Amino acid sequence: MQLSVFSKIVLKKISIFPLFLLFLIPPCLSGQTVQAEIRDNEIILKVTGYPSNDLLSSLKEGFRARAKYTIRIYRYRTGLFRIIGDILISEEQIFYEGMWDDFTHTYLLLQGEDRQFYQDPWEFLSEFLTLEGHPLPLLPEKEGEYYLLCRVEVENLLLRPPLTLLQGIMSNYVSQWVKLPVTKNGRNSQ
Amino acid sequence: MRGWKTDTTRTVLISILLIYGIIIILILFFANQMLLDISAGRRISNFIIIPVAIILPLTMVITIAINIRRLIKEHQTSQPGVRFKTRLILFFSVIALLSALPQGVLSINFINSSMNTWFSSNIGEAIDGGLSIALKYSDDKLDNLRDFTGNPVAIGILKNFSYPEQIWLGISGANPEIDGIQIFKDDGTELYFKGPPEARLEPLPEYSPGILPRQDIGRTSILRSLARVTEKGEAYSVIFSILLPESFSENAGLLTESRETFLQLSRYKTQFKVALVIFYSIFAIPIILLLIQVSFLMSEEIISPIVHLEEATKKVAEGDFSVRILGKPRDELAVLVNSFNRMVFELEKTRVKTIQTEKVSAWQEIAQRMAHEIRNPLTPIKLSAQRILRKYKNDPSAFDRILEPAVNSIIQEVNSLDTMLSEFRDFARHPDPAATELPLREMIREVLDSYGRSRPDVEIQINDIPEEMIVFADRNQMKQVFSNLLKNAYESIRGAGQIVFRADLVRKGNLKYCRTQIQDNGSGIDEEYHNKVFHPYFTTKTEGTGLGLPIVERIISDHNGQIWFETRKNVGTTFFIDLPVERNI
Repeated sequence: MQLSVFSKIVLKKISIFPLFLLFLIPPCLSGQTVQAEIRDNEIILKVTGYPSNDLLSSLKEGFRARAKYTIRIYRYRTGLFRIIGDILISEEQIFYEGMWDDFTHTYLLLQGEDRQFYQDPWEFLSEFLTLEGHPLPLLPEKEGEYYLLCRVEVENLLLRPPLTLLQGIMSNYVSQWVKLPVTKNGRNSQ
Repeated sequence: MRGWKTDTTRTVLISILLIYGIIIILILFFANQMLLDISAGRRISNFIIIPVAIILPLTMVITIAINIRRLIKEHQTSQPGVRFKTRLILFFSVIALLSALPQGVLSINFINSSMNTWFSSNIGEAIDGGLSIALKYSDDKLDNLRDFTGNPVAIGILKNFSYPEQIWLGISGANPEIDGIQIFKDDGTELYFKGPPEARLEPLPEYSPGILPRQDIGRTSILRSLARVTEKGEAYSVIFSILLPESFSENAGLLTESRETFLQLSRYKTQFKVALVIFYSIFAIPIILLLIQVSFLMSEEIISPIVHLEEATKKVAEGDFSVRILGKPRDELAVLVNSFNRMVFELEKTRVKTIQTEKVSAWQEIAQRMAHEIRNPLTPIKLSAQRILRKYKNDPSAFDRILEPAVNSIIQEVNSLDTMLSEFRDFARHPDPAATELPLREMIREVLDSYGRSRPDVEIQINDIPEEMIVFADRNQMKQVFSNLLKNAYESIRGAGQIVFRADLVRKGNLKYCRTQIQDNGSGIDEEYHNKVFHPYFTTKTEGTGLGLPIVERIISDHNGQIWFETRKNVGTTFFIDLPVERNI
C-alpha cells in the first residue's frame, strides 16, 4: 500500500471524529449577554437579550426549563507556576427551574423547595433569568488576590432520563465566563 | 540454533495484554458512570467522553493501521506463514464483529420496543386523561371559590362580623365545599379562624381580592380566595379555604412529570434511537478495535512456532543439519518440536554414516582397482626379467636375441603403469575450474582440429551449435571433456559413421543453461553397464584406464552442471551436458 493511500485512509478516519465534538462543545450565547456585579456582599447575575418566546412556548407545551448559575472563586497564582493557571478555591451552582403550572394557570419558578408563582410571563422571565441576592461565598483566610468567575447556562428544555443522553445535542445556551474581582471584605474592587 | 521468542518478548506480550485488560475495565467503568449520569439527569462528563470516544479509538485505529501495513509488506515479500496469519486475523476479527453487531442490534431493538410499549399512545392518553381529570377537579374547586367569593349569597352572609361564628355557619351551609374561613381586621389582626390548622395564614398576605396562589403544606394543598368586605365603615379581609385531598398535589405533580416525559419521548424518539446507537458504538468500537488488535498479537503468537518449524525444515532440506528448535516445556507443540529435533539428529547421524561408508567404499573400490591395474603390468615385467635371467644363466649365446624384446616389454609395461598413475593423479587432484565466458562452437572446433583427419570415414556435424552460444566454464577442462567424449564416440563407431554436436538454451527455475548433445551412431552401451559408466576404472575397452568418464563427470560437476546419456545397442549413444551460461551460479 502506498504511503499516500495509507495517509488518505487515516485522514478520512480522522475527519469523522469532529462529529463527536458536538457532544463536547456546547453552543455559546449569541446575541445574549450576562451582566454581573457584586453589591453589598451579594452577587447579581442577569441575562439580557435572551430569546424569550422560545422559552415561553416550550414551557406552555409542558416542558421544564432550567437556568444554572455557576460561581467560582479563584485565587491568583504567583511565581513560576502561574502558567498552569490560578487556584480554584470553590464552586457553587444554583439551579432555577421554570414550568407552566396547569393547575394554577401560572408560571412556577422553583429553586430547591422554594416555589414562586407568576401570572405575568415577563415577570417570571425576569426572575428566571436573574440571580439576585445571592450571598457572596466566604473567602478563605489565606492572604491573596481573589476573583470570581460566573457563568449562566440556560436549557429551554430540561430532558428527563433517559433522554438526558441527548443533552449534548440540545440547543442549550452557555454564557462566557464573566470575571468579577473581589477583595477580602467582599466588595467588588472595581 | 533457532528458538522461540525470548522471555523478554513474552513478558512484553503479557504486559500488553494486561494493559488491554485494564483498558477494558476502564471502558466498562466509564460506561457504567455514563449510565449513572444519564439516569440521574446529569450531563455526561467530557472527562469520560474524550478518552473513550476519541483518544482510545484513535490510538487503536492507528495501531491497527500500522499492523495492517506491516502485514501487507509481509505479503509482498512472501514471508513464511503470512497467509495463515492473515486468515487467523480475519477469523478473529469476523468473530469479534459477528458477536458485537448482533448484540448491539438486539440490545437497541429491545430498548426500542420496550420504550414503544412503555410509552405507547394508550399510556399517553391515560396520562392526559388523568391529568385532565385532576385539572378539572382543581379547576372546579377554584371556580367554586372564585364564584363564591363574588356571589351575592356569600356577600349577604358576610355581615355582622361581631358574630363570626354565625358567619361560618352560614358560609359552610351555603357552600359545604369550603373547608375553612379566616377573617382579618383592617389592621391585619386576625378576627376569626375556623377550619383545619394548615389552612390558617399568618400574617394576612398582601394580595388583591380573588384567587390566592395555591399553597402546598406537606402532603396537603390549599386553595384560597380573598374577599374584602366593608361593614359599618370597617374593612375586613375574608379568606375562604378549600383543602384538596391529601397527596393531590404530589400525584398531580407525578402526572405532570409523566406527561412531560411522554411528550419529550414522543418528540425525540428518533434522536434517542440514534443516540443509543452512538452510545453503544462509543463503547463497542474501542472493544472491537481492541479485539482486532489482540487478534494480531494472538496470530503472531500462534504462527511464530509454525514459521520457525517451516524455516528449520527448509534449512534441513538445503542440507543444514545443525538446525534445532527450542520448544516451550509445556507447550502443545513441544511434542512436534521434540520429534523434529530428534528426526534431524537421526538424519544427521545417518547422513554422516552414509557419507563415511560411501567414502570408504569408494576408496576400497579404487584401491582394489588400483591394485589390479598395478598388478597387470607387473606380471609381464616379472616374466620378462625372469626370461632375461634364465637365458643369461642357461644359454648365454642366445642372450642377445632375447634381451632387447624382453627389455622393450618391460619398458612398455612401465610406461603403461606411469600413464595409469598419471591419470589417477589427475583424477584425484583435479584443480578448481577457472571459469570464463567461452564460445562453445569455437572451442569444439579446436577439439576437432586436434583430432585432425584421424577418422575420415566419420562425418562430424557442428552446425546445430549457434555461433553466439556461450558457456561459463574453464577452457582447458572443457576441452578435456569434449576430447574424452569425442574419443569415446570415435571408438564406438566401427567403419563409417556420424557424430553430431548440438546445443540449446534451457531454463531451470531462474537459471539458464546451455544443453550440449554429442550424438553418435556407434555400437551403443550394453544395459548392464549403464550404472557403471561413470565409475572410476570401469572400462569395456582392452586399452584404457576407465578414468575418462569419471574425470568428465567430475569436471561437469565442478562447473555446477549435469551430464547424462541415452543409448541403444547398435543404434548409438547421445551424451547430454548442461553447463551454466551465467556467472551467478
